[in-house]
Amino acid sequence: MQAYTRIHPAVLTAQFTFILLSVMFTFNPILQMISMLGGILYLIALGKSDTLKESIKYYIIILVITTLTNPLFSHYGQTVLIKIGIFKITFESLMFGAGLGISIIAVMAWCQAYSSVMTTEKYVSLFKGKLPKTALTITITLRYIPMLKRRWQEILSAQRALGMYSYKNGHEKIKFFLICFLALIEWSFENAANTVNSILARSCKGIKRTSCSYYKIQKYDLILLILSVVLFLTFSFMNIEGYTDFEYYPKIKLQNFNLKSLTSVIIFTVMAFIPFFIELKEYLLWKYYRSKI
Amino acid sequence: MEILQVKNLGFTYTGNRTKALDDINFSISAGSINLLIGATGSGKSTLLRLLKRQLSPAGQTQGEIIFDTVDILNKSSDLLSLKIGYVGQDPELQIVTDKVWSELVFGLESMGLSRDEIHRRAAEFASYFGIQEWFDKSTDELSGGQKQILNLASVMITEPELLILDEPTSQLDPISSSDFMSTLIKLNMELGTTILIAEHRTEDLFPISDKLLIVDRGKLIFCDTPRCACTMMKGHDIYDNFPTAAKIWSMLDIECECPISVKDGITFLEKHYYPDQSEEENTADKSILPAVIQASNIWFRYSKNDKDILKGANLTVRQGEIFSILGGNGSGKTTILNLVSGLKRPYKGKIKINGKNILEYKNNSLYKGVISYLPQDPKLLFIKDTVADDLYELAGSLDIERQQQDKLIDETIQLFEIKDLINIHPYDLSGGERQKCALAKLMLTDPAVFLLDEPTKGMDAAYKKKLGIILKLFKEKGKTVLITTHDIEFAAAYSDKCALLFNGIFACVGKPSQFFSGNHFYTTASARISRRIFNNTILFEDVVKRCKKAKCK
Repeated sequence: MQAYTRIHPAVLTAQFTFILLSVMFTFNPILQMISMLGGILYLIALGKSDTLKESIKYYIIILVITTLTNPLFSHYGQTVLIKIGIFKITFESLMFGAGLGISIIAVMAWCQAYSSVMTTEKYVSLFKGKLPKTALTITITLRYIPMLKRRWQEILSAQRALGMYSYKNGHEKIKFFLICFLALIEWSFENAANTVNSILARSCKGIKRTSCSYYKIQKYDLILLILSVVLFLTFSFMNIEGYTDFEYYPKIKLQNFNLKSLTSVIIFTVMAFIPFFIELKEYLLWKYYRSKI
Repeated sequence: MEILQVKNLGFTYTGNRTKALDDINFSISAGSINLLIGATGSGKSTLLRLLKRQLSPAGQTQGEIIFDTVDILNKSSDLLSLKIGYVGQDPELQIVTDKVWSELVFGLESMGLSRDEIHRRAAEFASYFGIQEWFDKSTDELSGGQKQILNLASVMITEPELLILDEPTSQLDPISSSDFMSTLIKLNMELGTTILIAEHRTEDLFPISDKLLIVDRGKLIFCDTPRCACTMMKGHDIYDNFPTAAKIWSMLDIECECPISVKDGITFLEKHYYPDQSEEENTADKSILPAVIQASNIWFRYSKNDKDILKGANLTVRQGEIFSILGGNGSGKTTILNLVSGLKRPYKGKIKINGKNILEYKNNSLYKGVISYLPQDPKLLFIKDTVADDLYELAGSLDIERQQQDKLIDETIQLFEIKDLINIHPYDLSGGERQKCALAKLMLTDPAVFLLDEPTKGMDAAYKKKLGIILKLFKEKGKTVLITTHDIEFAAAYSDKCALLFNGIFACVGKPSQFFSGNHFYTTASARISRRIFNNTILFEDVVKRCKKAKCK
C-alpha cells in the first residue's frame, strides 16, 4: 500500500498541475534542478526505479541535444568559447540550453510519476460526478481497446494460416492488412450491438443514472489541497514579481540574491518535495510499525 | 404460486413468413428450476428473448406473457423488467465496462440508487459470489469462467425474481461450468430465485430441475418433470441431449424408474446386472503408419519474463489419425496448435510436418495443401459478405484454372451439404452452420492435416454428431486431424488417440478406451456409471452392448 493510493485523484491532479505550471514558467536553474530532483526522487519512492533506469538514457540525450543546439540559434553572451566565421558559441547560451534540458527532464519525470499514480480508473472518477455519461463512454472505450488488440492478432493469425497472401510482396502485404482491418471493423460493429443489448438489459428508462465512485474527499485530502493551493499562489506571486529572476545574458548572474528570493526557493522546494515526503513518511511509518510487532 | 405464465405465444420475425414460435403455453412457479432444451434453431433463444422485453427481437408477437400479474407484452415498465434478469451465451459480449467493480454496480447505477446503498450491495454481492479477490481488476484480465460469474453477479445485484439463462456455460470449460452451475443452484436454494435455463449439457441439470420444457421447430412439445420426459420422449431425436444414465436405460427394456443422474445410473446397473470384467479382444491392427506431425522436446513461452507454457513436450500424430488433446484452461492446448501451424515458434525443440522441418516450408507452402487451422472462433476465417464469396476468394488464390475452381467449390459444397447457406452473410449463420462452412473453406486447399481448436464449443448433440461424421470423412480421405477440446464425451466417441496436456508436457497418451477407463474424474459419464461392473466402456453405446450380453439379475 502506497500513500498516493489514499489521496483523492482530484487532489493528485491539482498537485501535479501546480508543480508542472511552476516548472514551466521559471528559468531559474536552481529551481529547475530542484524540480528535477523532486520528480526523480518521487519516481524512486513510487518504486519506479526500473522506469527511471530506462529513461535515464533519454534524459541524457535530451540534455546533450538542448545544450548543443541552443548556441546554434542564440549567439548572445559575453564569454565566447569558439568562433567559426560569424558563428560564435558562448558559455552563456550553452548554459541556457542545459537549463532548458533540465527543465524538460523535470517535466518528463513528473509526467511519468503522474501517469503511474493516476490509473485510468482515477481519471474516469474525475468525470463521474459531473459528467456520468462521458465517464461511462470512457469506461466502455477502455474495455474495448484490449479486446480490439486481441482480436486483431487473432484475425492476423487465422488469415495468415489460410495462406492467401504472401508476406514477402509489399503490395500483397498492404492488401492483407487492409482486409484484416475491415474484418476487425465488421466484428466490432457486431460486438457493439451486443454491448448495447447488455446495457439495455440492465437499465431503466426515465430514471436518472447515479454514478458510483470509491473515491471520497477526506480531511487529509482537503489539508493537502489547501497547502498545495497556498504554496502555488505564493510562488506564482513571487515568480511574477521577479523574486526568482535569473539572468543568463549577457553574463550569468543571480539577480539581487536576498531574503525574498531565498523564500521563493524554499517555497518551491517544499512544493516539489511534498509528494516525495508523503511517500517517505509512509515508508518510515511502515518500518516503525513493523519493528514494533 | 405462478411467477410467469405464457399463453398462446406466437412470434414471427420481420420479413419472415414462417412462425418462429407457435402457440406456446406454459407456466413457471416461483422458486423452481426450469430447464429448456431443443435443437439449435428450434426457437429456444427467441422464446427466452421474448420474455426479457428489452432484448426482444423485431417481429410480430401474439398471445400473452404474464409476469407477476402484469402482461408484459402490452404494459411494461423498465423497473418491472429489471425483475427479470438475463445471462447470455458469450461471457465476453455482456461485459460493458473496464473494471470488475464498475461492471458489478452498473445495474444499480441505472436504478438511480444512492452511493451508500450501491457500496453496501456491491460489498454484499462481491462476497457472496467470491468476487472480492478480483474486485479491483480489469475485466479484461479475467478468465472466461470468472467473466460469466461476474455477468451473473451483475445481473443478480438488481435482485431479479426470475433469472433467464441462455446456454450460459456453453463457452466454458468443464471445471468453470460446474462452478457456475453450483453458484446457480446456491442462488436458487438460498435466495429462492426462479430459474429458467436453456442448456445443451443436461447431465448436472436434469436431476435438480423441477420442470423440463422441450421446444421443437417452434412448438413446445413437452412440459413436465424430467423423469417423465425420459419415458415419454423415447425414440425422439432430442433424447441425444438427455443424461447418459437415461440414454442407457432407454435402450434396455427393464421395468423400473428411469435413472437420471450418474449416482442413479450406478445403482441401476448394479441392481440389474452381474459384473463382467472380461477382456475385450484386442482388434487394433499393428501396422504403423508414417508420422505426419512430429514435435520433439518443445519449449515455449510467450515473452521473456513469462513462465514456460510447454516444457519439453513430445507429440507424434500418425497419418489418418484423429488425435484429441485434452487439458485444463491455460494448459497450452491452443499454443500447441499455434506451434504446429507455424504461427508461433518454439524457443527450443523441433517440429516436423510430413518428415520435413517446419522452418523449411517457405512462402506459405505450409498452408497450401499441408496444414489448415480452424480457430476457436470460426468467424475469424470469413472476411467477405457471403460464404460463397469467401470460398471463391480462397479458390482463386490456388494455382488452378477457373473451371477447376468452380468444380472444386461445387464438390465441397455438396460434401458439406451447405448449399442453402452459401449466400448468407457468415455472421448471420448459427454457430454450427458457420463452423461447417469454415471447415468447407479449409477443405478447399486440400490439406493433409486439419488443426481444430475447440470445434465443439457451444454445439448441441445433433451438431456434434454431424461434426463427428465430417471427421470420419476426413479420416477416410487419409487426412490427419489434431483437435484440442474440453469435450470429454466428444473426444471419447470420435478420436483414435487422446492425450492429456498437463504442466507443459503430455501426461498420458493412449487410445480412448484405455485413456478414459483409467481416469477417475477426467472421464465420460458412461465410464463413471459403469466402471464398477464393466471394463473399457466409455460410450453409452458400449454400456448398452455389454448390458445386452451380460447376465441379468
